[in-house]
Amino acid sequence: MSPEPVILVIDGGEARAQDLKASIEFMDAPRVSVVGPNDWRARLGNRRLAAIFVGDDLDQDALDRVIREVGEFDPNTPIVRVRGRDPGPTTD
Amino acid sequence: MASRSAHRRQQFPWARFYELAYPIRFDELGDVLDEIWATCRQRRGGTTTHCGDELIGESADTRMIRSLVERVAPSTATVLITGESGTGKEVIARQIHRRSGRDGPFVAINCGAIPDHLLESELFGHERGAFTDAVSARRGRFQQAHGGTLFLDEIGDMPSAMQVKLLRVLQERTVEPVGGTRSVPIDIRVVTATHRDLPKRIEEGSFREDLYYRLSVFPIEVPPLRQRPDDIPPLIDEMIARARQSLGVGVILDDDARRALYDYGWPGNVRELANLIERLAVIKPNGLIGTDDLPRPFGPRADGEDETRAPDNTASTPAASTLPQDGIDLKRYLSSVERRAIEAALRASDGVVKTAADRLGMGRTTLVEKIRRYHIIH
Repeated sequence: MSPEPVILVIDGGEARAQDLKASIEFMDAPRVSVVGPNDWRARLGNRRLAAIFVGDDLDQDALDRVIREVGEFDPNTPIVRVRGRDPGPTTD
Repeated sequence: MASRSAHRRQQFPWARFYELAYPIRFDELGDVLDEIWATCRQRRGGTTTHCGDELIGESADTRMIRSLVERVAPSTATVLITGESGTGKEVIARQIHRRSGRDGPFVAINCGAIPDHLLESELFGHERGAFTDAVSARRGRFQQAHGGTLFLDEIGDMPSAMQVKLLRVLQERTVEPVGGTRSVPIDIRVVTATHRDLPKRIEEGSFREDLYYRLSVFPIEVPPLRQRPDDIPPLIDEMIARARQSLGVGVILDDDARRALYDYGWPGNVRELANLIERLAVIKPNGLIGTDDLPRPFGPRADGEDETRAPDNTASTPAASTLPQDGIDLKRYLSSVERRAIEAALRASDGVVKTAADRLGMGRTTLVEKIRRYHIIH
């Protein structure tokens, strides 16, 4: 009864969130939704969660809360943290 | 950044973190998605599912309906689904069939949409020469559904004479085609639905009480969407996904527009919501939709403005053979032509970017950039 899994995108910036969504869909992900840090659970509904993309520009408390909620929902859910590309070599 | 990452890994040791840099590089995103799908397969026991006709929502009502479907589907009980038009009664009927384990087909007929004089032959079939137009024998819906499920929609609109015959079929499990002399045994599971108040129609004398009790062995009532608003957000997302699949374009709603849809009463229920999303996909493909873009009664519109008009005729007209009186924005028009050509090339190439790029006479990298710029979903 559960539809195919959905990827959720939570980001502080609407434009970046939509760009992320378009990019993920471009890679043939069938269902991607941009959601807010406070309503992702309601927006997910009864669908299965494939992964959640969260922007590092999100308010830090909100980001921690989302991660905690994902853990309570299903700790095996991949959490993809999206950060700004460093101009130089990546150190993180 | 590095210390914050390390801190989070310590704080949430269970979490399966991945990192991705923005702006996105598709090779990096591809690697992450490969990991995600691999994880999905593991969590699903090595299988993936593709379901297009699901009961969407997580409200208490929808969860209850889902539970009822699970319980009744494997049985042979006749099911009566009641609810307002557009609440998804046929979706539930299909779910019951899908989970019934029956090998035969799912056959649906709208009893209210077929003229009375044709309904009998439609349901029971007819022999050759049974009436003037019966130039050959034809199997009816009962026989077509043999081994499967017959879904009789709008059963409350079935004529009285047909109600008697239906009752007989349900009791005897045989049908006699119009003009025939022999009874044909059938093995069907019957699911019915109506938006009518059947007890009231029984009181009025327009529906048989004995048939009602025969049909409502297992009743399922579907509440209207306004009584289960928690289902609205996932339904919106589902309809957007379907519009993307069927029309090849995305629908992007801003927060205010989503709120307006959430607050709306939806007298036409899920069907109205689906129609609206499809309409928005046509009117503003891949554009950000605010409340101003919503038709009445969802959002404000200027007096006298035609709500069915596309907001930008240069973007919505695929090819203008004549110049509109007010002229066109040539740059935007050419962009819309380019976008449509790219979408067509991707469709013709089954989504393979390299093939599409060859068709368009451009390099793969250039095409990828244009796909991103236009937010093309394929």
